[in-house]
Amino acid sequence: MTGARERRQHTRWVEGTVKRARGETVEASHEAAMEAYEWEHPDVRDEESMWEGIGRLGESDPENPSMDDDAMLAAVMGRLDAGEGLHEGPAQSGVRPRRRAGLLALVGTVGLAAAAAIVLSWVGAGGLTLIEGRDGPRVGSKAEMSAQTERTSGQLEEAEPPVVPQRRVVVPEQTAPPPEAPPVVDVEPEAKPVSPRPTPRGPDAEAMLGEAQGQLASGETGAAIETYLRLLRKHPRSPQASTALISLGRLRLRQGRADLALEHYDRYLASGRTRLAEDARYGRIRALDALGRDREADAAAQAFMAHHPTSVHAPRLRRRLATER
Amino acid sequence: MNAASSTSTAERATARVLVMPGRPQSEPHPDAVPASVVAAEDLDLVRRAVEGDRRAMAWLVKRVMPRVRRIARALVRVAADADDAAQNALVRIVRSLPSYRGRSRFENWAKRIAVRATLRYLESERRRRVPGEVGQPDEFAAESSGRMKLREALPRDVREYLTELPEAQRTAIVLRYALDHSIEEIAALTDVSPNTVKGRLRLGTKALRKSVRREIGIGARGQGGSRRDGGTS
Repeated sequence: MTGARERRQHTRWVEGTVKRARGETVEASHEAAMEAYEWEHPDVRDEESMWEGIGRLGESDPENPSMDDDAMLAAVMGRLDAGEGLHEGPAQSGVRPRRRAGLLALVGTVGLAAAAAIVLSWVGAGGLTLIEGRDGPRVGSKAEMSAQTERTSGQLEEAEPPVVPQRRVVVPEQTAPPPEAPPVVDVEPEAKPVSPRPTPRGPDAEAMLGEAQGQLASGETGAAIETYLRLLRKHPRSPQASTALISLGRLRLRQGRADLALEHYDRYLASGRTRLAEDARYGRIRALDALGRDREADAAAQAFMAHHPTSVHAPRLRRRLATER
Repeated sequence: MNAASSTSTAERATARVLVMPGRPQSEPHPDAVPASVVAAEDLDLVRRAVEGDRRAMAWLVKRVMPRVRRIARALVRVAADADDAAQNALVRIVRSLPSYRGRSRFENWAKRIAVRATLRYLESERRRRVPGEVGQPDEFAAESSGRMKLREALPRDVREYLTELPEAQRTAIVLRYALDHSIEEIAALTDVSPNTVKGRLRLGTKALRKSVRREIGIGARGQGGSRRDGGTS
């Protein structure tokens, strides 16, 4: 019985560890269970790196470059053109997938050229109008799709490289401030909504948050961080911005950038928002621990207990504070 | 390095943008679009692709590409082979579009096809090899990258540990923990019962734990002390 129980707890710990490794959210109760398990079984820390590595197996590896997305899109469309399409017979690939070293060497040049040629030919024929940004399309609404279809001979989107489409949004983009010049409150002009929707910034901020979460789910951590940062720049006062701060804190902690994580958590707490304050305060403790700022971490733990005495993290922090005395 | 530092600078700047609202704000969950609406839009796109709309087809391919590539990278180690597997899976998805009924999100439907296609790819690569042939790397064996050595605590590349497992256990572990599939999904994808999947996960996990702990123990002893006591004994 004990063995089965231990196995279940270990499985739960592994599930949380791989999620953390990918920068995904682990629920507070789950984190507490993981910490309790680590407390009872400190040896499990030996396995942590292995499970983190397994959790991140799907991420791209900069040391082993692979075909870029545009080249792959072109290759896939080429294969479909060559007879592997919907109503065709079995694969008769004109663009064979097997490339190995030779193709890898060509990806940067021929691949891109092929991508550009093929996709530009579609643009010429009718215009490839993708709604979203550089990291993958999102589902366009029917209205958006129809609007795009009507512009098939268009002179607007077609001027853009279709394989790296620019975001087209219903709400006009605001001018993002340069990173070197931190904007102050209300430095960005309010967007004038085109649609009569009551919250002009909402949909786009939500779309960006969804985009970042999708990137995380796809293992594109770097792209997700960029998207969260873009969200902060463009929609600094949106509710989604506060979610982005907490997510950035988690991601930066995972990357070993506790200094940046701490800044994000502090920004959240300074905003006066409360919904994710528990996450922010707990993240602060972890960041300060990681930075070796022990006294500040203890103070943060005390602050946490003062604000969230019934939190799932409370028992562990209580033990910690007791041992400090 | 430069990119990283520029990101950090931008991050510091943009983080300051969040303003103090002065009043509590309601924060609705961003996932506000009902699944049925999304599925209906998916269905419309798929219908257009099936009818020969190349833009809809390209759109769908691009939309699922990140997930498909993640699946291929997780299951197939060698980058060029993972690219091949991803291409095959994407072509397979497009060929299967007529069977999409909109009963689940398009991404989830495509993910299932991609996993099956990638597993088939691995199987065909295995068959392609001459029996007894030496020098052919396992598709899953690690390339000469140290990237997966996330910390010094792990003596070897994580894929090396996985390669030591029987294939069925390895597949179950990767599907479960790298790609987040449920037991039931893995059972359906690999044509076995959920209990069999559980058994594979249990055995695979046990073997991995044993292997990594043994090596770390050896490493710690080799350094003249236990890791746990900080080498002070």
